Amino acid sequence: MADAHERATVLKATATYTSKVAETKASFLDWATGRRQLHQRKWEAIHRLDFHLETFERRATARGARVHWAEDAAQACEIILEICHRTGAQKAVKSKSMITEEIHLNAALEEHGIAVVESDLGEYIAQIRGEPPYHIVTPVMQLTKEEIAATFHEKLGAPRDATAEDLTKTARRVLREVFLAADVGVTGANFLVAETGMIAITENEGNARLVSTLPRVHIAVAGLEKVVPRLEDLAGFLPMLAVSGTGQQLTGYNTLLGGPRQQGETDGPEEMHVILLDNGRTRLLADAEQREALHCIRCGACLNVCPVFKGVGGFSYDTTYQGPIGSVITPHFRGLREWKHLSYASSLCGACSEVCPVHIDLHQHLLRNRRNAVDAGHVGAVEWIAFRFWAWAMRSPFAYELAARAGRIAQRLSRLLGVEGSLLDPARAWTARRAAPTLAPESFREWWRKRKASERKPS
Amino acid sequence: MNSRDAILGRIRAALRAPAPHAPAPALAAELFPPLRADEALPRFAREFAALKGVFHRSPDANDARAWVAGLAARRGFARVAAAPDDLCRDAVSGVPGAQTLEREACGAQLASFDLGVTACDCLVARTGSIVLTAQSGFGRALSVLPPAHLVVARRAQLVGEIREALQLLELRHGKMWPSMATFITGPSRTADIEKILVLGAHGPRELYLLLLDF
Repeated sequence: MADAHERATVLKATATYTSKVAETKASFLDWATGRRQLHQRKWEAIHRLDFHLETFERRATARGARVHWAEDAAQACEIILEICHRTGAQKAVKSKSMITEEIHLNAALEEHGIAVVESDLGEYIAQIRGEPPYHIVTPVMQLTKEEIAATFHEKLGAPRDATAEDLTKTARRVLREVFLAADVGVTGANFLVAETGMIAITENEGNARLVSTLPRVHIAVAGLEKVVPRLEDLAGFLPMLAVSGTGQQLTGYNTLLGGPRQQGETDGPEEMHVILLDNGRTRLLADAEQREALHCIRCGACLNVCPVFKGVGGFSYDTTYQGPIGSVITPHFRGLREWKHLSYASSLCGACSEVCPVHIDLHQHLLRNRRNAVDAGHVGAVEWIAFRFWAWAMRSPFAYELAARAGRIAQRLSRLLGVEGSLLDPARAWTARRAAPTLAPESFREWWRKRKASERKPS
Repeated sequence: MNSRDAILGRIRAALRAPAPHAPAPALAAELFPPLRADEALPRFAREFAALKGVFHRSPDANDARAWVAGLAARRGFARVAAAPDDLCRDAVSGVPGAQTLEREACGAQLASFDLGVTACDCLVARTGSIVLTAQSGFGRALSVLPPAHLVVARRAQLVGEIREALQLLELRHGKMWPSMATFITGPSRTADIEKILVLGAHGPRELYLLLLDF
């Protein structure tokens, strides 16, 4: 759970985000039509995924890139390690990518003696603190500049009172050496353009451009679902990703990369590899009802507006992808039984569905996960009995009233004897971490009956 | 079975289950209010300045040379590297010690320069973006490694929308794409620390555009 300080920092960041988004959204003629367009383009891409991926593979290969297919995290890491070993790589530098978090690439590289450094400022801060990213777009959203300055003081000897500007300069200086010394650069990909066989990377800092330029090998890891059919699709995706991600009209650098250094070019890597990762995505694809969750472009908008995310914080999810989209897809990637609880931690307010630039009905999918969990029998006996009883009581006025009265007596008794929240409390699973609301001394129905009775009395 | 065939097989099997409903065909509507031809240049200048880029419009070649020389002197750019392109070569001809790069100049060596000078493929009025490729940018590094970047463009290279820029790239490079194409929208930036905007994260802190309007 997030503490008050962390919560205040996150609220400040999301408030800044919200006001910037409102500003840039206003420059659109019709945002709602834009969302429908993107939804349709993604729908087309996902519903002919095999065709578009094969086209991508063919075109990328023709440009000298090597395309690999990885079933799961372990296989993706294996492929990357193999490339590193074959090319004698000792040092890797990375740009921001959630998919390399998903496959735990850093741990795999380090285990095999390959040093790996994150170069996105936020990711670099998270890495030297030994923490995972807090948010898919804003990795250290929960930290104040004082806390970051303290980290830089401890790890890099920067002054304690360094400003955001100073801290950025320090990171630039340190990481410049890393870029120049690295043998391998690892990036993600925001889009795979089937038509041209190129990957598209969106970023602000320029680190992804350096990562894909200076080392002699460039490896891009991408989820299967990142493919779009045509280059012109980007005319919609790039601005809408920018607005939803950070409230910018267009992100600082939107770079298309197709192949290693071509004949006649003066620089660029000698090898380019693209790893297409499944890792549960075809499982989600097979669920026709929920496959639109694969439309996600990872803009982070649903996290920024989610009251649950802002309340509990990014670390509480314990997933690669936090917030509503994480709650929707994680059960498909890692198993419903262990990850269904995320879909219950929602007020179903629908703010996520409202902001999603590709029009994913996120809160409906949370409900579907809940239903699927019940259908699959991932429900405890006590919970099952309690809900049967609840359903029965809610349909019978007599039973409802009886239960309410019994509950009132039981609560008073339990508080009198100090049972509430203790080991003896039958509702301990609930009360151990929460303050149970006090039941009203008189129910509405009782009050209403009394009122009716007093009205009938002649005054 | 290799993983490629296994994955493609699973995709095909998965897609045999039809989606509950296809989306209603979206209107082919424009995303943005149309830009009139005479609005494009003022819009570009406004957006570029808002992004903290520095824009200069030159009425003739002498003005262009003088402006670049003045910029280099004012900012103390001692080591200037220009792409071997007629526009760039001419623009830096008034800067003492400016070098026009040779074909074999590459990657990491460019880190020691103060200013990189390149051409571009086009400019996008809507977003104030500069579009360049490994061809017009003379490789991948010259436009991102030095701490300042100057782009020399002609007035005729200005287009209105991102879509037009993509079409133009396709038209020009469709047969033989350079290995890199990028939309540069303002100097390198970050807001990772408390959402405070800081320029010059890893790429150029300063971005200049010289527009040749003759």
